[in-house]
Amino acid sequence: MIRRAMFWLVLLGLGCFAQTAARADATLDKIKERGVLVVGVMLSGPPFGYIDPTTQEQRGVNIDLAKSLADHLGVRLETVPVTPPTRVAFLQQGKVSLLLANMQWTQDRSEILTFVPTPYDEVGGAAVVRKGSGIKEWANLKGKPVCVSQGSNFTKPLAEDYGAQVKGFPSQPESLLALKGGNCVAAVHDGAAVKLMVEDKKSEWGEYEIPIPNDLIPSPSVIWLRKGETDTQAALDAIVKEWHRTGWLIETAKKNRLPLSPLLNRLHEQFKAS
Amino acid sequence: MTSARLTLRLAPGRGWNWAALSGAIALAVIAVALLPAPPLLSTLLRWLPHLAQGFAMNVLISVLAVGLGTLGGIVLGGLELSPFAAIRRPTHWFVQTFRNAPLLVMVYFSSYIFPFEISIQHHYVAFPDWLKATLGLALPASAYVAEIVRGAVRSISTAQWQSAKALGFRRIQTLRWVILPQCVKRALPPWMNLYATITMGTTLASLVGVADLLNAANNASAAVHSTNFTIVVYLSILVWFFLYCYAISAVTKALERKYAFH
Repeated sequence: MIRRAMFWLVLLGLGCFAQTAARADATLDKIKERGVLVVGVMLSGPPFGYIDPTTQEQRGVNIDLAKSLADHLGVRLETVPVTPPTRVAFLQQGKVSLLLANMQWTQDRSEILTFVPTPYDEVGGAAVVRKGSGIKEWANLKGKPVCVSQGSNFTKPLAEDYGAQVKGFPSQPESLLALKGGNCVAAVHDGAAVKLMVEDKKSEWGEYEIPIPNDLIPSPSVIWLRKGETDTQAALDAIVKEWHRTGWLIETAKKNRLPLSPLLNRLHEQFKAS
Repeated sequence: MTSARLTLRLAPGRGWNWAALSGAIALAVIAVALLPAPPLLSTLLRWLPHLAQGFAMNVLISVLAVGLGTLGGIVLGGLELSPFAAIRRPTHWFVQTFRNAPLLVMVYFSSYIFPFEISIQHHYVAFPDWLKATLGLALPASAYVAEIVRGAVRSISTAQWQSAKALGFRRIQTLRWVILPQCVKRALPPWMNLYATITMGTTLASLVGVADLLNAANNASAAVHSTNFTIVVYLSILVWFFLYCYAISAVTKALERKYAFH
């Protein structure tokens, strides 16, 4: 009797398994079923993501990319602002379906999360320093205090490869404030954002420069998903390839004044040809 | 309860002056910071609606958390006074646990253990972050209120309990009709302190992604990308909270006068 019950139970279990296996993964199903794509976006400032004070609307590259993803999937977009400390937790909780949060590919991150293989940009670190500080290359930062945002992927190369004394701050504004307050010799952040800032805010950043010509560990920016979401990954990868092929990414970067990384042109040529 | 009486005596005199002085200092600092750069002021004004929206969230969380905490705390405080050890002891440990938990830990705890939505037969009910943060703050608030209530009740002379008993009141009736009304005046100052503390504590919610004032200030400083503005916007947070808590303390004083019937 017990055996027979076990047999049916196992069969039922297999049946359920077969049924789930035939469907897309949980995230893609959820997106289609509810007709809404929930994206975690980072509002770390222009050009990536920021709030327009007059309309209270979110703007920037991250938002444009999220809108396009929702359009391609034929669903409504909902954005959830995330910060470096909350982004991975929000993704793993299921609160957001994917992250467009200035998260570059790193080995450590790829071990706990799934990512869309085609990158949408490439970002490296740039060091903002006071003029006349004598810093000309990354090796000059050895033994000197350097400000970064907490959880930044620049922490490791700065500390391990260049021997800098790294100080983490909750976010970019605090780190830049610490640089101005003389707490560190350089502040290292996403190159695109700080280059735009030093260029635009001459009155405030006139005393500062970005003297090191090469970016620190230029790494691909990718869309992050929960571990094992392969169907969502495939669906999104097709969209990102389409972005490159049509040149839409380059247009979007120009529209938001994001400096064009070599990767954007390279992938545009590559996918246009194929 | 001597400390509560002391606060009461000081409140209309020196306490008032201190509050006004610190407010004046905060305003002066902001004025000095803004003087050399009038554009900063206009930028701050442009961000005012966004900041106000954020502050509304702080007010909502603090009112709900202290409201829930007060209801829970009155019950817990009553249970702590129970003559039965089986009721008194567990309540005591509950109160001690949450009274000694850092607010930040409670906020993290509640925001990561509760699900972000509850599904009831294909209907999804969102369980927003601000509500989780509210619950995280309401738990320690209830423990603090329980101690305030217990302290206030204990401060009433035992002769009153005996007199009430002699008049034929049951214990619970004595508590409700004789003791608690006298406690209101004694519990108000520490209760107001608690409200102010919890209100300041609501900024912790920004760490778990709630769109509060601190979060709005971070958004503003990230968008404006100017270190001077970052300083100004943080100073403005001080002023928001100061003005709000100052108003609350004025209301509390009015309430104290209203209940000062002995």
